[in-house]
Amino acid sequence: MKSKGELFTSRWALILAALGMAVGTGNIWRFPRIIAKVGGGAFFIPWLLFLFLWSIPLLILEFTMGRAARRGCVGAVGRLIGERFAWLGGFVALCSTAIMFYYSVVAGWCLKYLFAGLGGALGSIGTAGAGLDYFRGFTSSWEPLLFHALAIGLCGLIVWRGVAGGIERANKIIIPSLLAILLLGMARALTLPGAVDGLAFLFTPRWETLADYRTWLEALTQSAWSTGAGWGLILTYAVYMNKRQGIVLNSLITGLGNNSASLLAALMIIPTAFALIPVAMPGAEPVEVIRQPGPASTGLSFVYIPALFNQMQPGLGWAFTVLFFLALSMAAISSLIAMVELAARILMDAGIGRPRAILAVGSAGFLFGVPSALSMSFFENQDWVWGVGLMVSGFFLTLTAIRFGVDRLRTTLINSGPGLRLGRWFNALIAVVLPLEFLAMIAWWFAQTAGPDWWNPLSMANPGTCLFQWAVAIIFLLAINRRLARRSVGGRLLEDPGEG
Amino acid sequence: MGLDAVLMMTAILLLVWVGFGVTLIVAMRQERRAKEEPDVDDNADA
Repeated sequence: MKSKGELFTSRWALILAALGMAVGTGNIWRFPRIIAKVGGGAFFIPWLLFLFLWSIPLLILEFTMGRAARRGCVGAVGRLIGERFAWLGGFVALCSTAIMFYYSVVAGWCLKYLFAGLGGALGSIGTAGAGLDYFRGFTSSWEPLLFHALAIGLCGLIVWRGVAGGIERANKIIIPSLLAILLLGMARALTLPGAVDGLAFLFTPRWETLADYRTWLEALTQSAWSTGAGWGLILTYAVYMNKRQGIVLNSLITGLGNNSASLLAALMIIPTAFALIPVAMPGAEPVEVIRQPGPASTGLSFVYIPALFNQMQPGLGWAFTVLFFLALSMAAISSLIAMVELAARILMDAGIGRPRAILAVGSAGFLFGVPSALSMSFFENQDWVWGVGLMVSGFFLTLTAIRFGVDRLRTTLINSGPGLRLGRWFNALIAVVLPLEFLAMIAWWFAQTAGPDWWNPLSMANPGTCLFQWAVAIIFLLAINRRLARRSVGGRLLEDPGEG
Repeated sequence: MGLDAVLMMTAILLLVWVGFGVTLIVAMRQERRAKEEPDVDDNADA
């Protein structure tokens, strides 16, 4: 099924949607924590390097595949390298869809805190202990289920309205508002007494941290996860991309825009933490507090932020709590919209109409998200398995480009279009550098996490549970590959060398 | 806040924020030029 009739109405609409996809909760709650964990300053160097050596090349591949094939992940991979490899795209889609199931729960948490903030329920949280009690009380109740339903329902409704009427319109409101809130938050944070200490910590380069391989790998994983490169989400949005737009520039805007938002978030959160932690938690080291991952890595956002903002003047503290959770909710919703569209695109490629596809994805999203909404252990397991699975997804997209021929992809699908051209160096980047980065990440991940029972598939967070769940997914995809491909692919791309 | 932190902050903010701004301006120009050119079949399958 072709995507005829559905395109973003302008380049800005696509860019805003791409930024909405990329800027998520990871920019606001993960990035400041990772900087604090690694030691500030010098982290920016590998973080920027991997933006150009991992994330932007993968974004270029995704824009290229989606725009050329006019199919979602399964159809695009099948059209590029043949139906028997469609399962590679299937894994990318399955991984992002599995993330959608529990990400909707996270988006629900953000909405809950937004409503609680609006109603003044967070105003009584004065200490980190109270913040933790509130979070635990909430996550052990039935409420996460309600807010999970609200989040997936809201996103389903937006995507149901189509590309121009839903996705585009929502992101045109969300992204400028999010940017305005982050700017306002940063301005307030930087004028708090003591904020300059946070600024000094953030930017003082501790060069010795660059000698630690973990700094480099944290930078690579942060860049990979934060930009959404390799998730298949940009590939899905590129299905609706106008052919007059340059792929390279769109990828640069998405990557740099994502990192700009991360910097804004760090400039809002770290100075705030340095200014308010000594008041809220006398004796506590601000850096140590920011580093705390907390339950399900939620630490700073859900546990400390309400307590910190409540140290401001009463009205101001309320306003900033609401604004912070509004920003977090908008970031989560704009990313969740992209995940819903990715899954729906697969069904639409198989011939199902948009309304039925959205109904199926929304219902499955709610049902399969229920265990994560009700059990923190299940949530953490899924976050672990599919979060790491994104590295494999990125590698599968790289393999697709290699199999298709990177030079052929560069010359016939990227450079033949408008905009910036890529030189031969791009071939080496995709065929050599990206696979090496993947191997380094996987080896480091294995070395970090493999204990004596590393193989145990029933463990909550070890390599065994990942390998087991990935293997089940791949076996399932291989079993249905022929049917999946026949319905989604619809012929090879560029079988005629003159086509393109 | 030391000089090294000030330099790092300037370099990073220039690279990321200014880089983002410049790419947006270039995209805006390309978009304007593309609108002036004859229409292509935007919807066509490759």
